[in-house]
Amino acid sequence: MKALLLADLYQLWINFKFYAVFLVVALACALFSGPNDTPSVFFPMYAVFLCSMIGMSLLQLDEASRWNICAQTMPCTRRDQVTEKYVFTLACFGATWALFALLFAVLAALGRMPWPREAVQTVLMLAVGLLAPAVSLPPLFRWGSAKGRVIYIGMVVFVVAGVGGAIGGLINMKNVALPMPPTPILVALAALIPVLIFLASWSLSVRWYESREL
Amino acid sequence: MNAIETRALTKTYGDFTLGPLDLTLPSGCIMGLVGENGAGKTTAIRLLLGLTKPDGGAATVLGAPAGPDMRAVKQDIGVVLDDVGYPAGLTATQMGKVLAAAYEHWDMPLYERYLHDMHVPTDKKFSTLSRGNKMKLGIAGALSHRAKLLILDEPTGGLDPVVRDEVVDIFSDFTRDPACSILISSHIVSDLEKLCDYIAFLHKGKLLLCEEKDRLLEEYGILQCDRNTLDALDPRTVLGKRLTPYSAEALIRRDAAPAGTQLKPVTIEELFVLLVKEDLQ
Repeated sequence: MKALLLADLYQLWINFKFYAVFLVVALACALFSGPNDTPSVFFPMYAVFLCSMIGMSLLQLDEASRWNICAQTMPCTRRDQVTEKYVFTLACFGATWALFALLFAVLAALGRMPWPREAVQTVLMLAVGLLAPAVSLPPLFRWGSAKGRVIYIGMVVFVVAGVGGAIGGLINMKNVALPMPPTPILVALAALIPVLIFLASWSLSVRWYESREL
Repeated sequence: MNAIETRALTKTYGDFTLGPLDLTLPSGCIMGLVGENGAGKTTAIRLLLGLTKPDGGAATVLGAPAGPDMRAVKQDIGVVLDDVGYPAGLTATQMGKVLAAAYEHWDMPLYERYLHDMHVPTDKKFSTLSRGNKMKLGIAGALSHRAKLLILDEPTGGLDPVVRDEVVDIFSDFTRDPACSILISSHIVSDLEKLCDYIAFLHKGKLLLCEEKDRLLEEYGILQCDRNTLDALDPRTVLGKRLTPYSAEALIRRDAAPAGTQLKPVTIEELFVLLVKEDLQ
């Protein structure tokens, strides 16, 4: 797996070094673009989302150069290949997430943002960063990048439009209100569920990739 | 121990079926897989490497069952695929570091020597290399971790004759160690004729012949004659023929040749072409 990680590290540097500039811009925008001198939600989310999709982009590059097949001729299993992509995704997303989480914590300590909002935003970033690759990677491992991408887009539309709409509708119909400020248990649950989904996604990807004809 | 053994190995894709394939490559030997495009050479190699699951039969590679869990045995296998498959953006130097992290017995000075001797640019991205240089880089990668078995899919394709000759010499040197073996597929039959101890002919997924090369060359010959003489031969002895308006050539077993006839020595290329043509007729 060390070799696969190293190959991806080189690919990251070659293909995605502009992300560093983007991160700096996103950080600056986050600091100065929010309402009432509070940091913006959009830019951190967007940055975390993009960085969490680096693994997916690398997988597509692997397929285009057929490195995914070549790597299978080396001493590594398909489980190693899947695990490496999830670890790499976690590292890319984790670094970005930690950066913004730290920023929010500093801003909350300086009084520029209330602690409940800091906690919700940090957990939301975690959810976005874990759920995006958790949804996108299994179809890519199962069907390859061409077919997998179409299925992934379909799934995102379903999840965002279908599930989001259904929950919104339910809240409206039942007049349910989300507790504000959120309780620590709710925040912990909101953080735990994406982690569990990410782990389930890894397990599904392993199973699907092991059964795929390369 | 045999380096490779397959028993009734089969794989079906739609209307194409490979096998049943029965091959044995003894340690220290080189086997050439010869076949036209789509004959099943790459499929056979993929089955041996566990990239594809067989529909029937079994294979062992260096004594271990071929399949997806060959991690340990792959330390001893060097592979060059027909398109090599290294990441597009990496240079030969970076690729050396990646391979060093993958193989326990990686020999960086040896890798660098191969790159130098074969004139492979070390600072250019893999995607910008010519097909020949990509292949040479793949060969350097496959040879630099003290493998006991090389599995090579069309490794000399795209190389100019001079480099091809050098590469063939490198492969020959590799098997000086009696523990080292090579399975090589190629369209360039002349390379295989120089290199191989065993030749396996694949045609439309079927194994037409698998024999020691010297034995093939001893056992078969070409009879050059007129069409009347050809028609007079027992059809069972004629394994292949080539007809022109003025003459005929027939591939026959030497022991089945009519008494007193002179047979021309057959080359592996002629043997393959005539066998396949006969099958097509």
